[in-house]
Amino acid sequence: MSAKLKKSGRLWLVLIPYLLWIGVLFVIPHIKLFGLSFVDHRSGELTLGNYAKFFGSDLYRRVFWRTALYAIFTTILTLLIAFPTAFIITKILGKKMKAILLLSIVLPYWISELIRAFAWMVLMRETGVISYLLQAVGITSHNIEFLYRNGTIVIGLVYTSMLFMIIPIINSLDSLDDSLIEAAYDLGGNFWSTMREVIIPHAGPGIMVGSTMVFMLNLGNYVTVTLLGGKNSLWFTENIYNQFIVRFNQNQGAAFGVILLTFSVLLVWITLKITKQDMAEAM
Amino acid sequence: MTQEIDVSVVNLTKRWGNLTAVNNVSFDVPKGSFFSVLGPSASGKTTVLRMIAGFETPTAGDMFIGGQRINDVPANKRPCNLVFQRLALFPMMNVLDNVTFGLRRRGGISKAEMERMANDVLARVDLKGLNKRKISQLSGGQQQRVALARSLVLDPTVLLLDEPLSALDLKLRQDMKLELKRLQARMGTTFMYITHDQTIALAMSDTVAVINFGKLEQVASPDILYREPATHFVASFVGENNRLNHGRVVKLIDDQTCQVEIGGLLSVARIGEELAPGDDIDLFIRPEMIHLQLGKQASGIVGQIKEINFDGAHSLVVVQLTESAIPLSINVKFQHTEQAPAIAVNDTVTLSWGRAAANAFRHIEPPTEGKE
Amino acid sequence: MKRRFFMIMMLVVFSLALVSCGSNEPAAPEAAAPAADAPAEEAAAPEEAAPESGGVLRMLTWEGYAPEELVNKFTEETGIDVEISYIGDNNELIAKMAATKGVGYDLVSPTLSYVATAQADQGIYQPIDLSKVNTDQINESLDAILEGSTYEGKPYAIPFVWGTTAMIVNTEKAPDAGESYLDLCDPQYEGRISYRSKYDTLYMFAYALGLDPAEAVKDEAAYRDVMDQVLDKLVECKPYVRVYWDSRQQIEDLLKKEEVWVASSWDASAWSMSLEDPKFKYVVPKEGAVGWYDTLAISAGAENVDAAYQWINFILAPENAAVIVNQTGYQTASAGAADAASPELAALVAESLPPEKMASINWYFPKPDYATDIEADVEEQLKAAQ
Repeated sequence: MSAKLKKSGRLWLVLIPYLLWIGVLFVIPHIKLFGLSFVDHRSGELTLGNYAKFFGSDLYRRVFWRTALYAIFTTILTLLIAFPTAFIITKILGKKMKAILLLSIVLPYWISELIRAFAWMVLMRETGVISYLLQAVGITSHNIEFLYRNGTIVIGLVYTSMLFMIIPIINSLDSLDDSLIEAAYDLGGNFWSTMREVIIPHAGPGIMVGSTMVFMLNLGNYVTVTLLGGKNSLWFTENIYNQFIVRFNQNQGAAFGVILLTFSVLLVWITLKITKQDMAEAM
Repeated sequence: MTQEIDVSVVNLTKRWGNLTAVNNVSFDVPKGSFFSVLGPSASGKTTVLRMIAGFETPTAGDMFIGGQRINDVPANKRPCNLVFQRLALFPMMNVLDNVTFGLRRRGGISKAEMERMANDVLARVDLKGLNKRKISQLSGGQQQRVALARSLVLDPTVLLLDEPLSALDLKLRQDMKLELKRLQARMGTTFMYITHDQTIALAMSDTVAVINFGKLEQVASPDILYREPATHFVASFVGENNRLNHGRVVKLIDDQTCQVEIGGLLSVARIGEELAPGDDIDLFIRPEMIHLQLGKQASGIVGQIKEINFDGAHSLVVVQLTESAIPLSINVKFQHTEQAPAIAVNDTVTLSWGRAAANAFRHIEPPTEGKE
Repeated sequence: MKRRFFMIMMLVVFSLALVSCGSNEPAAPEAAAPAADAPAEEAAAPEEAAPESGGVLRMLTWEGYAPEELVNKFTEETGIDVEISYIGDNNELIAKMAATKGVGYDLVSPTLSYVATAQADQGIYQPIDLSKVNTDQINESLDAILEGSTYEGKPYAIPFVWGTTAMIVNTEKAPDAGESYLDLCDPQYEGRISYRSKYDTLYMFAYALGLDPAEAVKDEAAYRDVMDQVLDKLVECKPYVRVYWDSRQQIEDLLKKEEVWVASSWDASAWSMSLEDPKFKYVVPKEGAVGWYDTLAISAGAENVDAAYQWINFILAPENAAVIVNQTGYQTASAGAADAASPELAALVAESLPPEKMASINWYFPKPDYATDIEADVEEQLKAAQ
């Protein structure tokens, strides 16, 4: 069937939806963005000035690295929480508990990110639930503000992106035959050596997919960061947004976008190299 | 002479809620022997094995390996290793790393020493020069050998095998069956082999334990198991048998032999379990131990050939017993020797057998439809 | 064969991509068609014959500026359906309009200071035809607004709704606050202060520092100098700020929970808080309130210009404008609408904005585009300051 399609050249017909999708929604906008980033906002001439502006500005570089480091840190933290959770869900719990837990992880994502961020605010604000509970049990005698700290941003980001880490890891752990774990124990392995040599290498592609998605989501987050971060929350996406919406400088915004995209692609590529994984395999 | 015992299981029981998977099982595995646990699926045999390996905790009873009680020893510290049904090789490692996995866990062995030990055991299972191969690049038979090597390199007191041959195709299974037995004989390691395939169990084992519904039916050599089944189940499960239901004990001839009547026909039979005249019995007759003569003979049971299923060395002949009061037919394994008469469908024949061919057990209702 | 097929495929992909990009440009052939297709298409005729009745009016406006009640009334009276899109920011309005040169919208509500400059930069509006406007029902602000929105000799906006930004104070917690905008930087209210990190705050602090941004904005270097001084002050004040608020809902919530005591506030928001709980008070400090005037302007790409004028005349009728006053607390340019407003609200307005405070309002000034960049720089640096 597929060979026949290939032979008759009609394989292209089957690929039309995919080509349209990737072309219209991905390739063309990115080419356009790339092109815009080399044009001067006012004169319309070709220039490297938009990039020079980024590399010449302490502020933009600082916000960029801050954003990148926070995105990396929260990705690692998300992984550290998601992996044991996924492991417990797939390998330790029974079918029924597994379904309940999975549902409870997926359920919050049925509501918008904005509402979820507001929910955190209700919990963590000075007159919020956590502050109230701490006073109720006598740990503190006055209201405590948990919002508007860097830690709040981290909590919000971890929560917002958790699902995208857990699901791919659950997927990869599901495909791990339990007898492999038993075999490792049977041959004298303990918890850590089994983790290190059998379970984590097997879950590698899932970890990679999850980490990539979470990292990209964190890097590009806007709502959670601004709502929970308060006055110190400047995130690189906010700079991009400002260029497009406040300053009408789509060329500068495009250059920022290209820089962010290049960085994240590079980082993912380097990680794949370090962990000796294949992009196609991981995806 | 007292044999040295490697594995000993005493009153082993495993219950999950109301379900009793293993019911008060006891047996001893002699050192250096090939010991099989044979039973149909869901008979509890795998549970016995997993309890010995340490992946299930017994509800009651004790387990010993080399005289040491292992109930409280964790799985990764027990002096036994398991070859899994689906092998459970580590796909993320090459052959060498799979084989040295257990050695690496022990510590204190140099890398060169580990590799030497691995090469040594890989040579024993005829797997030289494939150290760097990925598991996915190996054939089914080669994977089998890696799984054996991975466990054998640790020199376990007993090697537990959970039907590892069942994944192979028939031809390869036959080859590996013989190879496994030779390997066991050569290495002298005690093998404890779990299977539902009686041909494997009978062909390879020194001793076979038959288990059904969690209860041990009989522990014996394959020969004894075949000729002198101890229970109704063993008689029906091990080897091919004609089963004739609802006979009656006429009289006891001696303490091992009785005369039984079925459909008005009389036969001698070995007494499988304690019987008294008048008992309702089932009669099991080995098809290859029935003597078939053409025509109606003076002694023996007369019948008519209904089917002949030719199978090279012999044919399976279905004979309808014409003088029986109830409809009865018997399968006869007919040897095509030079002296053998020519037979054809509808021929009248006379069947006869000796005491050794027939076993009588108290009647048990055959399993109803849909229940195995 | 295969190769040719590939070429055709690429053509299809690219032409589709062009269509998708092109949708930013004129995208509503249904309404624009009659002229071209007139001879063949008789169905198009009624629309040309009676353009005043029926059709659709598409508005881009702020929340509360077109209450459902009034929209329904308008549709009943004129037979024109109204479609509304909302904006949260003048820049967003301009960005949306600029993307299509105004096509897709008939009537918009930009803030006055953004009208002439946006017209100069983007050409997104069309001049107002005063003969179609019922100027009798518009108050004395008309001339000033027409003048303020003039570009190349033509006015581009009709006055609509105005308001001020100053301070809201919880008088129980901070009875002394409200004398000056610098109270928004008073250490005794540490952690109980909130304002926006946007231009209105920059103006407040500029006035508080004795600077005149409306004058300085005419020169790029002068404006940057003013804004740099404002930035220094704001960075100095940052430790005392709880959070830079983003939405009306957010600041009202912070005030009600008493997590914030002193804040910048829109007048309407503050008055509605006062009506609920008199401990909240809208205070105009000595530097004067910052005032904004939102207008009605017609899109350069409007497809239903007549409907737009009908709405202008409808919404500025006193009985209709009064609905907006009562619902939002904003003041309108409709002469006599204030009389139709509720007495409680009128009392608050009179108390907060007596004639001398009215006279001291610092109106939003037109901004050249470098000013937007300078303000954005300040906002970004303020947020990044540690």
